[in-house]
Amino acid sequence: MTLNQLKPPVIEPAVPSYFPHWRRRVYAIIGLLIAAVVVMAFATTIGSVQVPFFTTWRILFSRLPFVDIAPTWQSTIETIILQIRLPRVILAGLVGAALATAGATYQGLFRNPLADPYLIGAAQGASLGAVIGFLLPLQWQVMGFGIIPVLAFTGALLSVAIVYILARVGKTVPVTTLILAGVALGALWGSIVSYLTITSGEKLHGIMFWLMGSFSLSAWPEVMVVLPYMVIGVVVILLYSRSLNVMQLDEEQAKQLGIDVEKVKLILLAAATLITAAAVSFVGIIGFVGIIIPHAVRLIWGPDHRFLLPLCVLTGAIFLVLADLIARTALAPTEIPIGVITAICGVPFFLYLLRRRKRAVFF
Amino acid sequence: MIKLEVQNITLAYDRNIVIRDLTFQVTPGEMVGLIGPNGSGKSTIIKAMSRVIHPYSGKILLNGKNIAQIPREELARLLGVVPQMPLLPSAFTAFEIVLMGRNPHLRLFQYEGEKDLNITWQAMGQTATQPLAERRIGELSGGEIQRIVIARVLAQEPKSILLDEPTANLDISHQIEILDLIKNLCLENNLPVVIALHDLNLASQYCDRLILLNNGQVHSQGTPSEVINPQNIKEVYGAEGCVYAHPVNGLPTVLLKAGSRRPAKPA
Amino acid sequence: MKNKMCLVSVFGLVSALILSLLASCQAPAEEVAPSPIEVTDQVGRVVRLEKVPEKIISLTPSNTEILFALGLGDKVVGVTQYCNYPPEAQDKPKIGGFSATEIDVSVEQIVAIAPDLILASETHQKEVIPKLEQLIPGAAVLVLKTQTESFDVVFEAINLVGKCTGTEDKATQLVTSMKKQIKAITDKTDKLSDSERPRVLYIVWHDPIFAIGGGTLGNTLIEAAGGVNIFKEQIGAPIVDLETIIARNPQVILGSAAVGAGADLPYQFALHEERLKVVNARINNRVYGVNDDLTGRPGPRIVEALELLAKLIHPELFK
Repeated sequence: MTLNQLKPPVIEPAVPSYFPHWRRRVYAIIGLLIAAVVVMAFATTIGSVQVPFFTTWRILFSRLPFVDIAPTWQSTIETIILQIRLPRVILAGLVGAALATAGATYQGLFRNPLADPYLIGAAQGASLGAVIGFLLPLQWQVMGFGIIPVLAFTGALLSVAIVYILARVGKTVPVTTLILAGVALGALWGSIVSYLTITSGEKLHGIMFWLMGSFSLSAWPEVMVVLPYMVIGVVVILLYSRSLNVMQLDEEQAKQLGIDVEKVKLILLAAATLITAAAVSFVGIIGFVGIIIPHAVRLIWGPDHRFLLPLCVLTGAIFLVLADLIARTALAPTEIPIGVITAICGVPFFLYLLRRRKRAVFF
Repeated sequence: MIKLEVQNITLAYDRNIVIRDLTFQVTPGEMVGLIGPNGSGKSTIIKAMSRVIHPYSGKILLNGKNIAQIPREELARLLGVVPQMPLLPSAFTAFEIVLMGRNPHLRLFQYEGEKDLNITWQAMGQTATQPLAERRIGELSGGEIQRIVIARVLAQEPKSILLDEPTANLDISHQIEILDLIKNLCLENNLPVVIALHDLNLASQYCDRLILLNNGQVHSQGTPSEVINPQNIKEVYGAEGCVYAHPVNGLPTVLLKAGSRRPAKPA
Repeated sequence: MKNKMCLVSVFGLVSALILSLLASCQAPAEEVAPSPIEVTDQVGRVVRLEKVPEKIISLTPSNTEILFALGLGDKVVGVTQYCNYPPEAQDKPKIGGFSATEIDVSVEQIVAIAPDLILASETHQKEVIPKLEQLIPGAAVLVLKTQTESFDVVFEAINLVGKCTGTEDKATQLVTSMKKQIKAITDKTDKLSDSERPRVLYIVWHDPIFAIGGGTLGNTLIEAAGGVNIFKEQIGAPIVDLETIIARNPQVILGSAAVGAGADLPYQFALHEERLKVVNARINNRVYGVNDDLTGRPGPRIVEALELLAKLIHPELFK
């Protein structure tokens, strides 16, 4: 047998038409970025108190450097726009982005469409920390914040760390063990939280509202604290997007393609948990964002994490800003807990996803 | 040009020893086939050689260096693996999967460039999977998926290739096409290739050397003519009178006949 | 012969009967009401007592205060853990907590105590009262409204308790004195025009912000003290947002400041929250801490509450 007999015909290589495919997604990212800014600005113009549309814009612009607009509005209106609404809208955006990105990361790491940022105990740990903070008769202030956010943050991180350590088998942390340990420990914390809540007496209302999630007292200090965690976490996750793509193959294949699976797992878990903890510690447990948004983005723009993750950041931000807008204006001046709004949006979406099972859209 | 060596490895899952004290080498440009009955440890050897499992004892060397000491990224540039039943995420397109083969050549935060896209496209051309490029994995058949994984290994541009039953789900024309391709790569680029096959005829036609495994040990090693003979087949597979000579090239060919199996002798 | 004996025995029986009736009629105790007692409580239930109760249990702090104000402290054999006034009430056995559910009211303990009278609130109707009626049929359960905005309901409650416990005189006295003290204030405040009434905000929690709205005792107290509640269109204790508070610009802010560590967080919030500094009440330093126990309990201390609020809201009228 000669070499020539063996040679299969080689098709002339032609550059595949993949670049437009990618270009579309890059445009989508740019478009959503602009949309996010616009949505946040509009959300600042709407609230339970009627502020004339253009007054809001003038107030916002007056804060830009080099712009000089003489104030024609009362200081109370300025306080409302700049000290109440603007930080709240920005915080809603940050939290939405954090939860959506963490959700997409968890779904990618666990290769499971039901994963969300709370899968391995971050929410339950945060809740436990917060409830302990409520019940302790201490008045400490940490950096100007009460102990509740600090304890919630610590609770979330500690809980996931414990789960990670428990799930270690030799040098590896198998994904199924992580899930099992996370669910088990989460249930444990959850039951302690329930018990403490029931016996909390007059603090019951405060605790229940924290657990349901609310942006009601968001102010600039909270934004300033959450922002660095968010930025660091999201940047790290985005850098590993290509690795996360390869990890969608089973772990064996990913290793054979040169991915240090355990290291990537640890880094991504840590980053995603960090941003989740930062998000929930000030705002409470907001559900559905971390699971709906990644699926919605995947349905529209596909599973490639290099686009999925940035799109989740932006879509999550827009979604939660709009949800919060409804929460604070639908029954003004009363506020609906934001978890209720996201659930109302989430349930029909889930049902819709269930009906679409025909196409393989998840993993 | 690299050389693969397996030195006295014993492979076990927990307490079950699967392979006992195995030694063999593969030189560049050589295609070595691992054959043997089901459960004889062929896949296990491939897994050990690709560092998915660790040998209980013994060493596996790549150019004299223990693979356990080679960083994974570097190992992925040297060694490409086609696993037996690869799980692929069903929502990705075929092109995206093959593109993942470029991972070892990209730095951690680097994205694929035009060169990578070209190599991917060419690899898909060689495996006749270009028409499948935009299709999602979930829609493809087992055979198509297998060819895509092979394309991925081609895109990986490794210096040696391990294949675990790469033709299991393929029809005859694709079987020949793929094996021709592998053989061609092996010869042209001087790659050492280890291929686990259960089809004895394919092994006989394509491999330069065969290693026949039975009960965790090497039953016989050598050229196809040396290894696939009536006595070995009878001892290992318990089938009598099946080995013939190929009418065109004289290589040993196994033709089945109903009722030709005798219970295998206990080892 | 037979007829005569019949007549004698019948006459004997009848006179014996009459004599025993006369004897029993001479009830010597001063404050014993004619038994049996029958009243209709504040949710329309008919309550019957065979005799003056000796062992009384209260399931709400306001009812406890009423009992002690009527001098019935000795007869109280069970209170909730939140019954903190008067101080003697804190020494009584605790049989319940905060909520009106079975978890929080120890029905077992109540059964063990075997009271004659139980003072409950309308929130206990769903779960606790049916259980009590089933397990202690001998006890009378008097339901008094705790979610009320009207002073008259409070007066009625005091009178009802008086009736059931044989302390009607004391009750009438108490109510009369309360009405008089209240009138002393409302005489002045009723005359105030809308512009003379300061805008008042009363918050009972800070995160989220719970304000006292309309249809509550707190609201009635604010109005009677000469203020106007900025959230009176919202019924109950609504959650409100900071924006609306700033927009409505209250001139007086009352924040919950009960006794105990951390219990004055609403007051602290009103006093120190940065973004409230543009509000009138903060500019003029009219932020005050108020004990919720006073303003939230429909009991004898609403007078104290009203006097306190009147002094805070109209210092120029009430010294």
